Amino acid sequence: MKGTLCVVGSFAIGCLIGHLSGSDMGAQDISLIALYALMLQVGISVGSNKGLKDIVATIRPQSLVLPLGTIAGTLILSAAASLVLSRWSVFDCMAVGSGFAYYSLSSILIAQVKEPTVGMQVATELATIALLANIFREMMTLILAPVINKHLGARALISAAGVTSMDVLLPSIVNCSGKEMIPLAIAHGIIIDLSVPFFVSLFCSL
Amino acid sequence: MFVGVGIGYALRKVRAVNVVGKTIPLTIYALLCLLGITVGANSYLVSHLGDFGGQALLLAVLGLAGSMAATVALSRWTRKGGGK
Repeated sequence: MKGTLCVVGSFAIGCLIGHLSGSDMGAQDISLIALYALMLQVGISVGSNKGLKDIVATIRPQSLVLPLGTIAGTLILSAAASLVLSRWSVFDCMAVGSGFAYYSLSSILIAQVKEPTVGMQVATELATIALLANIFREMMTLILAPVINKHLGARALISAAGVTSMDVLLPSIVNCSGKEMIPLAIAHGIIIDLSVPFFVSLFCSL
Repeated sequence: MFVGVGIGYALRKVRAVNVVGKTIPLTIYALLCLLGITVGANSYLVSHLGDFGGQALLLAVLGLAGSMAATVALSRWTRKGGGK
């Protein structure tokens, strides 16, 4: 919850600075450098994880079914959203869905990758929608975790959590479904985490 | 990112590498602040934030419902397949 507040707070402070100054002060150029730095750090974090080998060892072909379901289901219904949101193409909606609750990275990636093709205005609009949509996804899962677990099961809860099944939502998953779901939830989170830059970049370039 | 994975793996026994656990959130907050500056400086975006919120809510609900529906369907399918 503290993390989510920091995310919303950082965005809100930025909005205030931008609104008061009336200029983006070269934020786009600085963002690109910071984004590369972020990707490098995420890579270092994954590579240096001491438990990585154990987690990889627990992954069976069957455990790949869960992230596959998360990705397929999210993308299919995100694509369907374009029927209602006529302003956005199927691929724009799928790019937003591809965040899988990873609001920070997905919104920043969308802003950067879309800008050269559609311009800063439209890219920033879609990035803002991605930020809000993925924050909403995390919050709804956090609030509805017990209900999802009771009616649809532990796997549906992990799937709903998206990337956050390995961090923010992990305590809720353990509370609702038990400790035996931890390896599956972490493996699911890592696989989805790695898929976010791939899918967001892919759908933004189509 | 893959360069980072290689660096992280090579330096996994160096304690200083754990500092990325603290710098990642800080970089994300900085990036979001920069995204916020871009949004805040754009009066059209500011005046339509409520509209974007509605669109975001629809995408969030559909993404969430789709992932859960596909997982439930796949779980039933694999259970059926395992029983045969």
